[in-house]
Amino acid sequence: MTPIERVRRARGRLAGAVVLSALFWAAAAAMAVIDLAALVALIAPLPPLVRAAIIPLVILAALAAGGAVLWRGRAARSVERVALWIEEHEPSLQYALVTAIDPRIAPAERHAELHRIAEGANVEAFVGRAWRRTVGQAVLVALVAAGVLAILRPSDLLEGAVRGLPGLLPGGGPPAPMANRLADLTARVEPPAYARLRAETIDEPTSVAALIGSRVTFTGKGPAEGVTGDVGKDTLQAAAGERGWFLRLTMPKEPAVFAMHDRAYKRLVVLDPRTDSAPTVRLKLPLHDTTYQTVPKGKLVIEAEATDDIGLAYGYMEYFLSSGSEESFETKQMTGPRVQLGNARAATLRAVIDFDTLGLKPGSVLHIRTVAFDYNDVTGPGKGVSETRTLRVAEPIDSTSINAAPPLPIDSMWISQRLLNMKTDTLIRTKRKLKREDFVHKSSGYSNAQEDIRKRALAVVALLEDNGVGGSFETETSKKLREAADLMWTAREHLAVAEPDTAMPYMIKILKILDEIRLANRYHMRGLLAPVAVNIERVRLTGTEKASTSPRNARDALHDANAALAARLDVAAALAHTAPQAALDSLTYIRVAALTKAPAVAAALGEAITALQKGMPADDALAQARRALEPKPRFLGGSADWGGVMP
Amino acid sequence: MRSPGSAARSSLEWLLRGAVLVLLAAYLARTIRAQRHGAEERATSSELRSALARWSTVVAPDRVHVVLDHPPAGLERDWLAALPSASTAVAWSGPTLLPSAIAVEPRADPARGAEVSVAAPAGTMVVLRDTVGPLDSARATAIGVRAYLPKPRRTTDAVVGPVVARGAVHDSLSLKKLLVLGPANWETKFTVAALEERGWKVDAHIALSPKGDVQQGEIGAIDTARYSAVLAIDSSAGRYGERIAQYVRSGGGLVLWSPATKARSLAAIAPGTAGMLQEDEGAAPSDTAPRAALELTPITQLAPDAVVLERRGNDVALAARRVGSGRVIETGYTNSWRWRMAGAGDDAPEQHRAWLASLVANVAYAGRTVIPTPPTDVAPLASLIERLGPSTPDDGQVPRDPNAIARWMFAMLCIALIIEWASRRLRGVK
Amino acid sequence: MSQFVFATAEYASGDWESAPALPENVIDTLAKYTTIDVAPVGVNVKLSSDELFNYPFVWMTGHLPVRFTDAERRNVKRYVERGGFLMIDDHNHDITGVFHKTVNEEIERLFGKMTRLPKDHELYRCFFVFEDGPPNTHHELNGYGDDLLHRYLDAVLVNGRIGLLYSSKDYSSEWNFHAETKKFMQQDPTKFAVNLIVYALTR
Repeated sequence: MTPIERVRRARGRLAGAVVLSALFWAAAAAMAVIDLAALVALIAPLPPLVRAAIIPLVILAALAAGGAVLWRGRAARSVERVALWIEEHEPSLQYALVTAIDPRIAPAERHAELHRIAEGANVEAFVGRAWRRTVGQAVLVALVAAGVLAILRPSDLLEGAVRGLPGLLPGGGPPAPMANRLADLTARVEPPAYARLRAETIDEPTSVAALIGSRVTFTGKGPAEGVTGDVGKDTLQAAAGERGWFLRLTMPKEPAVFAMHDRAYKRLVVLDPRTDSAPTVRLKLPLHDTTYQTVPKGKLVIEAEATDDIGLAYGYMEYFLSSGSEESFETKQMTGPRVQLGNARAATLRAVIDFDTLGLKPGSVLHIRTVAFDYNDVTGPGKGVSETRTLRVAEPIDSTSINAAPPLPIDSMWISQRLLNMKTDTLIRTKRKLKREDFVHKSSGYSNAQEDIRKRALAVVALLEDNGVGGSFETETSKKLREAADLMWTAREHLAVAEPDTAMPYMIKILKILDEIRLANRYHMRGLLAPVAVNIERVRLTGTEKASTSPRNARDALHDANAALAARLDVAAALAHTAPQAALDSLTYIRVAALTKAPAVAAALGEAITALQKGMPADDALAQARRALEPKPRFLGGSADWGGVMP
Repeated sequence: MRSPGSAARSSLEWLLRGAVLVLLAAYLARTIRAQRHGAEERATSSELRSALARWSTVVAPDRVHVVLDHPPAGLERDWLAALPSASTAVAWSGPTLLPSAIAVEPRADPARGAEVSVAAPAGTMVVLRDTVGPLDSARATAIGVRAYLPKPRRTTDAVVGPVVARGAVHDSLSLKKLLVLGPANWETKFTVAALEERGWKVDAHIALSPKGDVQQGEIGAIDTARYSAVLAIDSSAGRYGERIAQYVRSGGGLVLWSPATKARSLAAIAPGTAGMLQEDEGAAPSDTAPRAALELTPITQLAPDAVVLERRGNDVALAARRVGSGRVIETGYTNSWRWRMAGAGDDAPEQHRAWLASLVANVAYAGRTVIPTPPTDVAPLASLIERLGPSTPDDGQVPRDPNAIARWMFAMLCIALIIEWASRRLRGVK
Repeated sequence: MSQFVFATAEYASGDWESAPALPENVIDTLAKYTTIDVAPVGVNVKLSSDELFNYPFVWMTGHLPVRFTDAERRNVKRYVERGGFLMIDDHNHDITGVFHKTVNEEIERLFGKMTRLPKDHELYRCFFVFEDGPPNTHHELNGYGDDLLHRYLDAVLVNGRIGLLYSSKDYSSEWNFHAETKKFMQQDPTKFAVNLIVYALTR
């Protein structure tokens, strides 16, 4: 074998070693990357992006390692470099081999000598050693990496890496199945059509406040399959939309939590329904209740002002006309024409009624009110009613003014007569103690008082018997009162001659008659319901019918609606530091319960929820919510001498 | 022959070597002395934890003085208290520390509130707080600060300047029923209603008619095993007078409306007797002074041991008295129901309930059960004095930093060595 | 103010004063059978005034449509919720009448639907015993109104207690007679009023 052949053979073996070791090193580098990722994943879950990057990194590492080895062993391609390498390892050749393989520099006369020297070297031995060392190291490293891989068994990691790989490709491809499809959420709120309000979009909503009946559409990225939403007992399936998936629902009447699910992911949004207020109606004319002393004639202007938070639909006037007395009452209900209010937020309603057409008569009562409706076709229509104005027509007997009327003449007469009787009685009993002239003087004075009462009685008689058109007629009351007046005359006469004893029986009879008239003619005078005193001492416990009391049943303790909320809040607050996501869910549900019961708490909870979502401390907001749920402490005062606590 | 300059430098080098030796010797001596008997040392509140560790491991000072700007925590306080056992005298001073103490007592009330009493120098600001955060603040009067906490938490703090006193409820109360005795009138009706709504179980005897009274529950023996308190609204309670008096003497509580003192047996245990009725004018009880609008039958002829709890003008409206083991409170407000019905504020019914409940809580008998409590520090300054003795003025003679000298000595030693070495090398000598 | 005072409700609409003799008859019966410290005269109290709250028992009646003003509405709600007892009696004894319709509309607006009281409710047993529930009146079948016997009373309950009692039985007519007439009656028709007041005062 010529030297050149030997060198070529050595080159072949060395090149093989380089290629082989490059392969092993590439494998080792690839496995090392996987080992490293698996170790990191043991400590903390890898983000999806890192996961997806594993495979490319493995390939890169393998190529880099293999390339580096090949680059370093590139000298194995050249016969001269191999010959030099052999010379370097066999100094005894003294460059004979290099010279022998290069005919340009090897003198022909020394070929034989050079060949002899070159043949003397044991090239195969150290080429073999170099081969084993190079390949052996690479194999060893690859085995170590493979061993670590066998221990870690990162099959899940590799599966995830393979699944995540398409996400890294340019153009995206389909959304990563492992990505949370609820992460990028928007809500579009479309108020009910009658409200004529603009739709609005909320990014990353935690709470959606909208009119009841509004259409709320939640939109997210990714395929719709598997995305669901729960509100109450209903479960909605997401549908595919332009941007990804969407869930659509109608704003309920009560606050609720809308829970969206995507596999293990969950997202809660509070649905905070806003009620469309009913219209407010204020009657401007007539301004006050009125009592007409005579049947009114002509026209009455009625004016009302209606307002609504969204828009008014229509309104009308409503009338109740009652007439009658005692058991017999007739009532007519009438409504004026509907006035369209054209979705205005404020409007004035006017109407004119003609008294002449109503058929009013003494004793009639006319109630007027205004009614307005809004356009709410979801929960309404909202109905607003004004306060009622009452117009009365006085009855003939009700001749005194409704307000500030003087005391009834008969009542005052009765009181005066009673007082006079008492004084006369006292005069009779003290007769012996009085001087004659004093006695006569007093009796004379009482005679004058009796005459005054008589004149008042006769005036009432005249009033009662007046038919209003110049004539007169006797009534039951006037007859009795006239009888009393006659007795008064007699009594007056006896008193005038200082004979109160004789006058007294007449006076007692007068009082009795007045009392009868008073009670029999209880005129219905608004605001003047003259109370009658019962002689309690006289009638006390004189009842004879059987009675048997039953035992009392205890009342229930008042339920503190806030106590249950406070207890739930304490539990949720305790979770805030250890399990923020669980706390977030609990707080969302508590907030829904608080929206109607305790708005201040709901507001504080809203802040806490926002803080937790941003990963910020929510302690202050939670403390505020807790305080809003419980009664405030009260400082106590009082004497230090008493060991108890002052009320 | 050496030049004079070179000789001087050589002398300086010898001097420096000597100085180094002296410093080393001093350092050694100081260390040995410190180990044998430490120096007098001083620390502030912020340094206390590290100073305690040092005094217990590195040096054993003869005397330490701690300047406190807040009372040390239990561990530090106990550690300080233990130092004298290791032959280190402990002195302390805290010119800014204010004495304060807190007591948290459960109220005899089904609402399960607690009464907090804080002792603090008059005029100081007391901040109450619980585990959730600050509750409220008030300026201490001559008797400190007293508050009712509707919802006490595990611990309650009273913060007085830098001192934080921490208290907790130690007992659970077992409440019995109440017995209400009165006529069929609005005061009886709304008293029973308010107490039941508050959560009390009530037995009642409402005088109504010879044909029959209204009763609730079986009124048998009146004793502390059955009743936490008796409420007598008028003299119709006199039919139970002797039993009530016996009940009170044995530890029971009695709330008397002043007209009830017309019953002789109740008058004997009442704080006072009923004066002339002052009718109200029908005005709505206000939010701020609701009882001013109520009718009043003032309490007169007070018993010598009676304590006046509330006056309206010159009249006594509330008075209390201890009778035997029990307590009696008498109210002159005889139509408190108007507070509930006509009170101006939206929470008037709740305020009325709370007021009645507090009257009952003042006298009610309740069994107590000790419950486990979290660590408290009810009187931090008192505890400190108890453990360490009274404070001593800070004379300021103890060096503030005992290691400062050592640090200076070490620095000088290093400088001397460097100069000596530099001098030698510049002379060319190794 | 410690006395029981029989109060008649004044309201802006309608004829609130339509049973003027009723208070004295009820007061009379109450005194005859109980030791309740009762005022000898009744009072009229405006539903719209703060004074209402000084009278935890108030009688309200009328024939005409009832439209509460805002102040009346506010007061009635607060009154009932705080523990007052508002008795509303339809003087028309007519469930198709305007008083019934309008008052019920107002009540429903303030408190929601009323609860029908069972015949064994303690209201019918707390003093006199009415085995068949609310006692009938002579006016129910007098040819006016709806000419029906109304078997039940309706109520607004607050924490299990009657806060507002509504009757179509026309006790306002039955008890609105001259006081002297009572002595000629075999049975006192106002006994049920004692139950109403005893219930209000003790429950």
